[in-house]
Amino acid sequence: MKKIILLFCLIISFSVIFAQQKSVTGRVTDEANDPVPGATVIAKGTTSGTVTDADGNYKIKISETSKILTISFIGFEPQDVNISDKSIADVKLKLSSIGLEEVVAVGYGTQKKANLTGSVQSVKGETLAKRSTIQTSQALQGMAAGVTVTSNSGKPGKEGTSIRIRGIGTLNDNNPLVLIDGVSSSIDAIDPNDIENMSILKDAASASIYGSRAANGVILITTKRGKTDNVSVTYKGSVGITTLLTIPKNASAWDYMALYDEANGNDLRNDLGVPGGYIYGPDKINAWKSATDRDAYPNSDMIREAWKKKAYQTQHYLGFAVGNEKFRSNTSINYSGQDAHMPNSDYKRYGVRSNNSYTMNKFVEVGFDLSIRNTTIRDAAPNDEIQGMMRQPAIYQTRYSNGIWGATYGGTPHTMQFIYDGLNMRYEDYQETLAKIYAKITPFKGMQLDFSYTPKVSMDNYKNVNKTTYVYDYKTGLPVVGPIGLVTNFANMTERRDKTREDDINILATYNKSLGKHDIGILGGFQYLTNLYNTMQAYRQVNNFQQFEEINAYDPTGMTNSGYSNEWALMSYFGRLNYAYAGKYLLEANVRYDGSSRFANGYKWGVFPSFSGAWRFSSENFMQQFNWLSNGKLRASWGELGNQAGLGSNYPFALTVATNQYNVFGGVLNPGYAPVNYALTDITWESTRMIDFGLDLSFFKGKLDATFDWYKKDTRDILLNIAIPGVMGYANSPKQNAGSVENKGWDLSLSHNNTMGKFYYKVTGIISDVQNKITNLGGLAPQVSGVHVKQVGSPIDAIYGLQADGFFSSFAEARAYPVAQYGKLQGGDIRYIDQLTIDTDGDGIMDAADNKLTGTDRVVLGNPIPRYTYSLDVYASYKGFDLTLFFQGVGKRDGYVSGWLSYPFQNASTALVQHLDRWSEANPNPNAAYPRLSINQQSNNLQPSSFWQISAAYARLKNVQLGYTLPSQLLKNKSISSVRFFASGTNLFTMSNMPLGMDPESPETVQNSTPLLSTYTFGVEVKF
Amino acid sequence: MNLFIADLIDNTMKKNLIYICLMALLLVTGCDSVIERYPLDVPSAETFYTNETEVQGGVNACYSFVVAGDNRYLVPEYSWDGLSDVVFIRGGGFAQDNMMSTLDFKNGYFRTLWLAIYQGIGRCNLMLEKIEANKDKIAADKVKQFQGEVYFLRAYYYLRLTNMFGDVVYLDKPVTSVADGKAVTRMAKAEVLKKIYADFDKSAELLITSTVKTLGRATWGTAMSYKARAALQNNDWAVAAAAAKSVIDSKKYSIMPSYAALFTEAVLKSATNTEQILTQGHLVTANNATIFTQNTSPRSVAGGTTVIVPTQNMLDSYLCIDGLDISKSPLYLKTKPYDKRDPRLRYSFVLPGDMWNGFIYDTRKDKPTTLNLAGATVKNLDSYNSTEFTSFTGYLVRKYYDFQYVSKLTQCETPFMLCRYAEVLLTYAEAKIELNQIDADCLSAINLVRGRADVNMPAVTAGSQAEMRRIVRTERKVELWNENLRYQDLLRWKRAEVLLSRPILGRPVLGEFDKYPSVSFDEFGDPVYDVASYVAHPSTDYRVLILTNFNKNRDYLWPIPETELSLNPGLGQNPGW
Repeated sequence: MKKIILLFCLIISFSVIFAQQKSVTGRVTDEANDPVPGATVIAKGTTSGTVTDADGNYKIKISETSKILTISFIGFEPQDVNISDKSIADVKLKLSSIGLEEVVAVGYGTQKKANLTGSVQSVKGETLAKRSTIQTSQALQGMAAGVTVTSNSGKPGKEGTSIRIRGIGTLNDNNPLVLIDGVSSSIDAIDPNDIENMSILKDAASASIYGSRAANGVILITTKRGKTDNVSVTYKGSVGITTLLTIPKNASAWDYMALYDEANGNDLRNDLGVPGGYIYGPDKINAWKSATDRDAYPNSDMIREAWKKKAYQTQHYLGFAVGNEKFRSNTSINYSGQDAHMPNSDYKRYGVRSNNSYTMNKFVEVGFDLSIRNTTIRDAAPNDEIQGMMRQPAIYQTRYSNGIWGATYGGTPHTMQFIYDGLNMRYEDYQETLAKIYAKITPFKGMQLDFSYTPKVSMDNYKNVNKTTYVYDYKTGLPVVGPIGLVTNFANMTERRDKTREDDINILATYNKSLGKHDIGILGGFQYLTNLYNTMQAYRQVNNFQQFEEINAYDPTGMTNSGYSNEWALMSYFGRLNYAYAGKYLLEANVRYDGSSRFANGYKWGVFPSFSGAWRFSSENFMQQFNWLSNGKLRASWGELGNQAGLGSNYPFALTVATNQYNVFGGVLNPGYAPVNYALTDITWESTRMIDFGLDLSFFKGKLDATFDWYKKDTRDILLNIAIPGVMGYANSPKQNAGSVENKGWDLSLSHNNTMGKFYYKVTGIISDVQNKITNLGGLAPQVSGVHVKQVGSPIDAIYGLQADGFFSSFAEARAYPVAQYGKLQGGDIRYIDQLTIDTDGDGIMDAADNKLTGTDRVVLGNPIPRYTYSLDVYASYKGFDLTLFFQGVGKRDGYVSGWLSYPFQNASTALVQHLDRWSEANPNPNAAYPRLSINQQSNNLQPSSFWQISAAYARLKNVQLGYTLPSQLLKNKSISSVRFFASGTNLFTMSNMPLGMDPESPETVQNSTPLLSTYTFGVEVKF
Repeated sequence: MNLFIADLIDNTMKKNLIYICLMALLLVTGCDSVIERYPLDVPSAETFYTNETEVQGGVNACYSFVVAGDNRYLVPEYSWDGLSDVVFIRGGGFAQDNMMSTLDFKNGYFRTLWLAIYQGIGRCNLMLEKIEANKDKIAADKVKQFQGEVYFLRAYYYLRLTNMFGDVVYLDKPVTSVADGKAVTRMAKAEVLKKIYADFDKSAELLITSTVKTLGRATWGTAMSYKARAALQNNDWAVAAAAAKSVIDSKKYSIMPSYAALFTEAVLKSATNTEQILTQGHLVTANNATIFTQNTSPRSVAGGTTVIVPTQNMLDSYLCIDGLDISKSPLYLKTKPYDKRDPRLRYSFVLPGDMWNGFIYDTRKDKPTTLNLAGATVKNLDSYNSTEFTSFTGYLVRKYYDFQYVSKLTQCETPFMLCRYAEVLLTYAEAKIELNQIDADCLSAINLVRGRADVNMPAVTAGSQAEMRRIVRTERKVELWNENLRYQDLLRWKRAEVLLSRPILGRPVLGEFDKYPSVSFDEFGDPVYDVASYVAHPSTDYRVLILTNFNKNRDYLWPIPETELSLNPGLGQNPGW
């Protein structure tokens, strides 16, 4: 930090030197001659600037050498005024047209938005940065139609964020390709403040230039670069407070005991319906409830005691841009620190990025970009943040009144002690260094050659340190000492180092030519990408010097180590042809030819073409009379993309001998060699075909914009693990090109903006839908896994189970029930529908039930893939104030309650408050949320069934942000050009149907990680 | 300054540009070989097994599935007996579901077992082929040794397979294509049995001259003992008797003097253990250390889970030292239920009142404190008062338990005997009884086991076939308790439908046997309980652990696993599944 502050001061003093003499005044108005307050006035090429006052007036002191003022305000087109011989300059701003001139990044280049033929959505870096999230992926949530972003954890640095562009295309990896300045990367590798622009390539036509890695869509991130005639310094800093969104609550000690006794009685109920005995009994329960000594009669709630209500985070960003005719540079340093809601746990990220380019002469430009980042995570609860605490019913003490830790039911230390004393620590340290050198050669007008070479090295290290842990006697505070069994798990430590080196070579040639009304663009390219991964791991156990968390501090007896390397390579040739006639008729064709080392010879190469066209009908003569329509364009595209991410191995085609099939003879380790995994050599690329029709409309000079896309995406030859007959002697299921999946959907975005005097607002709504269906499963029988099925005709991982039909209302009714369910039934057990599974008359229609419940009675119950994902973004500004409200949600999705939420007492777990609403003999409520209780005879009620399915639709106030930009008059030191204060809140309010302890963003997983967080951030952004 | 940077970039860039251009040229003109990558740490299977070292490693790997399955509760050394009435596995989902007959053919464990055993068979078939192919590169005695071990293992795997699945696919050559794998059909169990016998015979013949005595490797005696086991498990009495007799007559094995010492590491690892016939070694470095200690440790051992415990049903099956069961013996006192019982009870179980792990062990609810070694009163971590997850039956496993692993519960390296001489003797006796040849040889086989120095139960004299059948079955239950044979015994005797319809019990929570009706015994010596009369006493009850529900029309065989059947419907399904 100190270093950053020092640098900060240095830069301030540096920029002060630039501030100088001459004074210019003027008034800024709109076309109706109304004053425009809050407009920015900057001397071009300097840091000197000011903001207009309430009457639109400004006064600026600038260097005598400055010749041009740039005036800009949101919603208007920026305007330059020559002031070389003036001291008064009034300016009339024009409303910005709809950004037809806007240029967006596309594969290997840029394209005017107006000339796009594919489905590309562009998001400005500043919009992402304004969300004030630590991770870029989270800033993207709800920003683009058809892009679904969900997180399953609030654990700092381990949010488990997934990004899905237009549904789930394959049964394998569905992550989009993310390219930061053309280099594949993780989206969270970049600080949101470093982003100039983000482009999301959604359809096959825009993505197919990336061929084999583009099947899930492509996210192109362009980072900020230095500009000619500009010196600027930006500092942005914020502090934040986080709170937990949802957290389960233990039943009280007496409720727990009463429920446990009820469950025990149910489990031991005899065939006459008489319940079995109790474990605690009413006397003990009453005594417990009325007791005052909570050390002897605990009533704890570990989850709520262990999790801190608040945690803090900090972010700093310092950017420095400089540029002239020859040399342009942009350098930034960023730091993010986030504390977890647990002690001994936090996340820190440091990053440096420097983009430099140098124009040698009119033919050659060279550049050098460097990016270094370092992420460290300390995690005191690497395994059991919640589940471990669920196994601590309220009757066991967490911490005695004298501060001594309690113990679990088994007399062992509990999860909270491990976390608070840092006894099971995981340390992660990730470092990545990326350098890109490039050259741009322009041999003649219209022609450009690009060469780049990008080596990237990343080191991923982790340490797991498990310390010897004692149980303490709460009276003496001393470890409970016995002759044996003094400690729980013996101390041990694992350290692992992963190293990845990736080398990316790109060569690109582009040629653009205009001949009258004909515009032609040609692009050809080559890429060679190699990747080498190496890992080493060491383990030791037993340490008598536990303060030292290093391998050498441990006993060498029993130490182990392991290590291996693997590598892959990808080679590609690609090309693109653009043709436009009079800016009205647009055509584009792409092709990519990819070769992968991951397939056997003869199966390595794949061709991925695409074609697209657009008609800008608003430019036709007959449309000129409809001047309310500023832009109208129809688009259509078809393309094919590849995917190899589902292989799971770099050598899926190779049948190898495992050399680790050890056996013990005569007490000695003997080597054993055997082929373990069967391999099929004839596997090749998955391919995705996608068709897209789009319509772009813009009305009233951009006051209203609409974009609509309809698409259909078919993925074929999906690489599936298909079981082979066990008699072949292999336990694995090798990859085969077998499945097909279809996605159909649409994306719609609508936006409206307007200026009313000093008030500007913009409302953007997006909504999209996708319907997913497996169309072929390679002849496999439905693949059932837990409550999910993969079967032809259903969405991927559809929820699959029995149809529940209420509870049995009494023991007698349950026992008299003619259909054989699971185990011995009683009142309060779930009754299921016995589906028609027998065809009695041979007509192919099932017309009779078999009077027993088996796997064949399971049916598809629900769809876990979100549909109707939507967001609404409202932005307004008035004078120096700006306000953003951002809602985001899912209209239709099915979730499922499982694990300890559906099963109190599971594996010695506690019961939760919601389990009080159960069916019992005393209160046979047919609408109870839980069936009759049981400790271990759960075979009937925990069958996958509709009973546990819930709606996971939700609406969430994702972000509210209020900003205030200081009026320029207050900035006495004119070297500061703007100051903005902001307050931002994330995940402020949610409407959903989720039980306490579950979040609609991960509506099936019983949360065993940190719940999602609400974040309140306060910050300042200063520009010099 | 700008100039300096520019200059720097200029120079480095020029060099790199040349490099890039050269690389690019090279690559653009390159071919597939530029993107060929092969594994960096393991050899390719196509070119492997070409010398003695590689073949030796291949033969070693054939042993990998002698313990089959990945379910840690069900791996035999953790207790395959947990599927029966003599051992209880808490939270043992599969074992309990199997006894309650709530499984269907989709249960993953069935396939796990099927796959594991066929992997073993696949490796054996591959190695038989590779030994043959490399015959001239391997010393002649090694060829015999290798083949002998592999034939034994193949028969061993088929025996397990037929025991669980009945008719199975019989293969004696590697299957190399998926299409071939889908075209196979099942062979009648009786036919497979003949092949099993043949393999055991071949193995015995090849190994009879072997001098290899390494603990863990198959020998002549192993092959013949398993042949006897295979015959017995298929009620093929004459073959069982003959095979067992040949082992007895070989005089290679004898009963060790101490049952108490037999299951300790000192004996298990020693070359002078004359009782062991096949022993499996465990080492952390071989990735096959067990979690036996964790599963059987009391709660006073930190991290111990008492997941695997002896049942009350088993406790009641131990006779009194007069050779009578507890319903008949005058020596039995309900107030001192563990006294004057077959000594093997104390060698196998940890009983309430025993000093164990430095504490007086007792799970009684009304004993919140206990005494430690030094005689001090301390918290009783095993009391129901401390935790309801103490031993559900009140007893612990002593057999094979070793305190050296309490600080590393999941790294138990104790070897386990998969077959020992006492079993061969009891196999011989049972086969002879079933053949109704109750002669001196038959009696001496039983009495050798009962007469072990530290067991010393009264000798058995000739009786009726029914009487002798009860005696030998009880002897088997007691002598071989928790050695993974009980479930198969219940199946082959068709006793599963009876015993696995009775409740599995723990002891009374307060241990007061005198407050409950006496146990009676059926004609095979297994205890019978009047459960209804216990249930009326809440909280001081006998603990009913499972109400079993064996389906005799189905559960004698396990199902052909779902996936296998869908890949090859021609396999057909076992009845009732």
